[in-house]
Amino acid sequence: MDGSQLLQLVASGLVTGSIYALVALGFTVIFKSTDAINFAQGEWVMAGGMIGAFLHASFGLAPLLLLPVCAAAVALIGLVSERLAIHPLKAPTPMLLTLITIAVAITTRAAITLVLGKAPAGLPSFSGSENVAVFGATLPPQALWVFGITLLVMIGTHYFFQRSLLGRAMRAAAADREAAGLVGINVSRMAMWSFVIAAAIGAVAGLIITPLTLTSVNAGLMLGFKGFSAAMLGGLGNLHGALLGGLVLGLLESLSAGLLSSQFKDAVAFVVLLVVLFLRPAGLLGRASTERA
Amino acid sequence: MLEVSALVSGYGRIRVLNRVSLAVADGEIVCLIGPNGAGKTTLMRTLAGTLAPWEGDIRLAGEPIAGRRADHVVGRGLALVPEGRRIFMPLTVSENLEIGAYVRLRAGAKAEAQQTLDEVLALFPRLAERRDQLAGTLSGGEQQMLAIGRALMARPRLLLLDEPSMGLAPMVVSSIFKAIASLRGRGTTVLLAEQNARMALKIADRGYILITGEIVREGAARALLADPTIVSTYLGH
Repeated sequence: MDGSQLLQLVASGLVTGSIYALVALGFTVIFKSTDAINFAQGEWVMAGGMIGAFLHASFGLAPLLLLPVCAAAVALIGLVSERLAIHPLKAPTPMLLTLITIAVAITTRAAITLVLGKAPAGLPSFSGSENVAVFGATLPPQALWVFGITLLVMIGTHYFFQRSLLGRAMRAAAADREAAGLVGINVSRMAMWSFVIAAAIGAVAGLIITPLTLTSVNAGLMLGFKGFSAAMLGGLGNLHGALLGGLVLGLLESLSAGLLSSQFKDAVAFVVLLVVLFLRPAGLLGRASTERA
Repeated sequence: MLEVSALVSGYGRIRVLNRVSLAVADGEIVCLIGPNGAGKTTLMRTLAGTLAPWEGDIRLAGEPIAGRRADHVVGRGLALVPEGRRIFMPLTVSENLEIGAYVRLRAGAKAEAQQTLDEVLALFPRLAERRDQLAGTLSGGEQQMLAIGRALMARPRLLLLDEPSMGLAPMVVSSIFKAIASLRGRGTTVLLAEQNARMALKIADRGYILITGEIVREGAARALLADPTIVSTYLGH
């Protein structure tokens, strides 16, 4: 193994890691506002890719145009899911919400299968087909799109939560639901927005990875687990943790596939996750919760 | 400003308030005193809408608000500074204050909210010094100032305060009570629940005494302070 091969592994690890980071970001957004784990996140990623591939194949929509269209379509799925399955609950405990998201995941996958079928689907690269050399590694142009769009989504999400009134209200509602109600925030509406945002982020992840890996209705499960692992690794509920956890998980997979065997890549990733959680149960960037009464 | 009649409320199947009636007139400072467990917090939460009443009527400036959710009630002009302050710990001081004006900012009243912010910072200069600090890093007294400031940012007609003196050093308590008393001049009506009865009665116009969910006495603050049985029963500690 020489240096350029190692660079190649690192580069492809970062590509996969970016996707994991976006999926983890979706988990984080919903966890922050509801304390629940959203097991439909992976299915939303799949839905983004599948809907994008369908729209491209049927109507010839350009891949870049698909970004807002798919994000909106899957955000709508998130919105409807939340209003139908979560909003009517009288006592929305995190455990109950988590269980309901499993039902949402199964329903979403069934609906996509019914409408779009089971066949694998693909998309062309967003631009060009000539590989590009970056720091000695050779990357498909789509990899650069993945990096760029992941970065934009991360920065956009960060600014949304830090600067916008809605983002701040969502953070306030996550910090103290009752106090948020007292200042006039409709807390259940904030949960709805977190589903919409997480679904849109998931759709973007699914869409930008599809030109590299193809997608199918079954792709959501593994992406969901990997994204969840990345979120746990970085520290659930922490935006920077989602990014770090995703990239570390992607690198681990890529390096263990290249240096050991591709059969071990999932095992290595999960073993490292377990070790980290044994040593730091709150994740790499997570802090033990001290403020909860 | 506020009329409460025959209010019954509680948690689960436990009845805490038993047909409580009281009234607060425009511009008054009224205090609600009573020992721990009397139902002061239950009453405050029911008025603010974080707890739904079982029976009875609540009117804010004539408008019925009983059973309305808190996020609606604050838009009608009633803000609660909850027991235990409940500020947003992971947000900065400025963010906490901004969120306090959430309803007004959503309605597009940015300039007015900025004006209220200046007033709140003038009332509590300590908050201005700590604007960019996370609320969780403030001292207890500063957190209480922030909780009051956050509620004032909604520009309420009626401000409810639930045990603002809780857990604070006497010096801090007196500066917070001074700030509460100064609200009288700004057209904010105040209903204050306190265990620290002597302190509360000193800044109040009138007082109610709540014992095990029932109002047992009401009267002018001065008269309550002067009544030897009241003093020995509730103000002795």
